[in-house]
Amino acid sequence: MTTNSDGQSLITDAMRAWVGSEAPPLTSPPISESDIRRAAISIYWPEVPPRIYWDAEHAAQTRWHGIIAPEEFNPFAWMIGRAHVGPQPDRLDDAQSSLEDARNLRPPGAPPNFLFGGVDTVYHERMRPGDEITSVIKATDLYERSGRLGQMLFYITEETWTKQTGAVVKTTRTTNIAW
Amino acid sequence: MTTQEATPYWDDVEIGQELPPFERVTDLMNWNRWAATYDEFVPYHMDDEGAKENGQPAVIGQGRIRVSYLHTLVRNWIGDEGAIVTLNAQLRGINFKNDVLTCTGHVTDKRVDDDGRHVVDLEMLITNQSGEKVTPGTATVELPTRTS
Repeated sequence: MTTNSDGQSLITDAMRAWVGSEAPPLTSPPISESDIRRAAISIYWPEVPPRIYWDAEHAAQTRWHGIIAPEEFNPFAWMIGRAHVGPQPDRLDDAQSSLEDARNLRPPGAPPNFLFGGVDTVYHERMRPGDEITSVIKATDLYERSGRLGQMLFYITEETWTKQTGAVVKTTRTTNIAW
Repeated sequence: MTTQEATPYWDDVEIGQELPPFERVTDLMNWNRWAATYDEFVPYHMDDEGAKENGQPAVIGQGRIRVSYLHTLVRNWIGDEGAIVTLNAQLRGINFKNDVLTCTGHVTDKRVDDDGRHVVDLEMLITNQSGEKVTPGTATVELPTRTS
């Protein structure tokens, strides 16, 4: 096991016990064409995004038979009471806030600073207007390494998205770094 | 309009073939638009002060934008009729304001997968203006065949 400059490992028994934990599921509001168009504009800026994301007539002529979302589209943006992404409004929806807190899977006692390390995604069904996506996320691994920022804790989560039909959209393994 | 091309046929793809590269000058015009659609307003992506509180010297770009750039690199090549089957991205280094990121990629293999799909394997890389390799990645895409 890697240790920090004091010869101490960052990984505790509580962190080891965290592996295997699963967060409560979260279901998105229905995806709208406008959500997709705006996300595509932000992804492709300063270029105009492909028509498949905003031109229904064009999209109908493709293999997808209609508008689809970019693979990395996030249907969970702009939900009421998001709790884990920075300063929040004064009046949160407490239930939603608690849910979002619970979904922010983070090893107990992890160092405070955070970086996103990368993703490994397998794609299945494409997201489309009207879809409601349910996310299930679980903690799958953690380890530590020395790097530019000193001793760093790497922790892995795996998230699966499914549609209202039960069809799987994608499974993403995310590497998170705390130091 | 984007530089998206017509979908290549799997039959015509050659190992070693390069994907059309593209560049992004990354700044608050990119980051703020992305934050607004992804609802990701994190202090260290918003100003220098927030970044310093997180141990960075200045404001940094969202890592997921670089993941998105790799998706865009692939989509620009496969067009409307291709499909991304898998995509892996590893974030290395930090993306600072006004960095110029160049996204490149090439074909490493073509095969029929276990599900009978005609797929192509890709290796990709985002490099900054200093030549640092800030985001390597891989992908597998499904392409149509001339007989399908």
